[in-house]
Amino acid sequence: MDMWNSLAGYVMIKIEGVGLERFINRAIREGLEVWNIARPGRNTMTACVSIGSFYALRRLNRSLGCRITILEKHGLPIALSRLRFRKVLLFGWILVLAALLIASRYVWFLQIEGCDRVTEAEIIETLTEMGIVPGTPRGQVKTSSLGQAVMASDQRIAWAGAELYGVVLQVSIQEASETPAILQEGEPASLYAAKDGVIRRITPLSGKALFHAGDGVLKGQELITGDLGNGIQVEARGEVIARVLYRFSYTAPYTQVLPGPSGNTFTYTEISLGEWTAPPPEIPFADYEAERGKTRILGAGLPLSATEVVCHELVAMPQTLTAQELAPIALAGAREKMEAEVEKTARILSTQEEYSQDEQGVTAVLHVIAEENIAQSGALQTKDE
Amino acid sequence: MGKRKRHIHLGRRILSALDLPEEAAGTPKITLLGREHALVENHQGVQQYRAEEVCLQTRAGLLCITGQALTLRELSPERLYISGRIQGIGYAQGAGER
Repeated sequence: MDMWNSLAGYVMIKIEGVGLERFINRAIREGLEVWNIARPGRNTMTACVSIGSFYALRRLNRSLGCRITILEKHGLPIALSRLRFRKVLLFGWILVLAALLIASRYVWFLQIEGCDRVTEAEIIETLTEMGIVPGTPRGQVKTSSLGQAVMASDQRIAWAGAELYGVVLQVSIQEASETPAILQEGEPASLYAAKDGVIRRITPLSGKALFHAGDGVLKGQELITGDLGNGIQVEARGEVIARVLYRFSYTAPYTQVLPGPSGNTFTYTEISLGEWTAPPPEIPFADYEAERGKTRILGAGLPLSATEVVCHELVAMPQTLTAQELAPIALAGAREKMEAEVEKTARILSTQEEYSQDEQGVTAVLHVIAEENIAQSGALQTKDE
Repeated sequence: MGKRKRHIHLGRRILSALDLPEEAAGTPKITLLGREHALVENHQGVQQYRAEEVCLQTRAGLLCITGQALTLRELSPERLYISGRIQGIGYAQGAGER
């Protein structure tokens, strides 16, 4: 009701006089839109009246002799009537409305949905070739034929549909699933175990599995055979995931050749301005360790600072280390071996380290359990009948 | 006077026989919502209106609603919606009793 009154416009009036009840009853009888009647004083009454009823109320009042004063004016017609005196603003509003009306007859945004392998840029390019670009009149966009044209433009698109939402043209596509590549049949072959292990999962894609999950296999055993019987032989393909146990050991001798300070030093001053640091001069050592001194602030207002850097030359020299110092070196050696031997695709399940010490040095043993594909293709073994 | 009484009673009997509500015959209906709002249907005009009292002419007599800051929120020939701090509702004695 309030919203409708605000749209239609209303005035708040003050009625002064005697016999105000007669005024109310006449207004009711005439069906005038009067509401929110309050009685602030004995001979005073305030009320809200619609604009249409206000003029009727004035006619009605002629016989009653009350005094009607407008207190407030509300609503859209009142606001618009004020615009009569602000012609430029009114003109601006009309211009904006006209511009909106005209602009709403064109497509301004292209929205592409469902892209995965086909890129949005490709769809937009296809639309551009069809003459659909931002700024195309909406009337020229035939959504039904547009969907079919987009679908026909690329074989990767299984379905395409277009829909107009105001000034947005939404093109939805459904990509076709990739056709699986046809495997080329090769020479009859079997898959053999490349390593000892316990099978976790065996998936033959062609051929016949000879083991089940949980079975232990030795290196060289036939896992998936290409001999299907009755003289049918295929190239065995598949995946055999097994748990493989590795053991890597490395002995680090007590005497290690490690870089150590030779006693030669080279000192320079590093200048920094904020985040930027001046490039250092050429250091006359192949290997060195830098030691940074105190930073001095140079600029009074600028973030300019100077730092003294002392470079200590490092040369390789034999050093005798303790067992505690050797343990990480031995472990690093064992890990290096592990990285070289274990397949990159293998999943490391657990690692365990062991250390031992003798006259030669400290030995680190690394026990690794990994899960990997141990299947390896090999020539088909013909069975003796 | 006797004729009029007879006419009303006859009307009520007809309404009762047709299962129609009594307010269909013009009997005032007062709906009170909390202490702030009152809706009076089937009134016949405003007899007196002050911020403390609204007296309405009805077929059942002069209906007076007393309270504070009483406002006539909506008006129509059949309905009157009053809001404010309502303190009492009653019929004035001897005035238009039927």
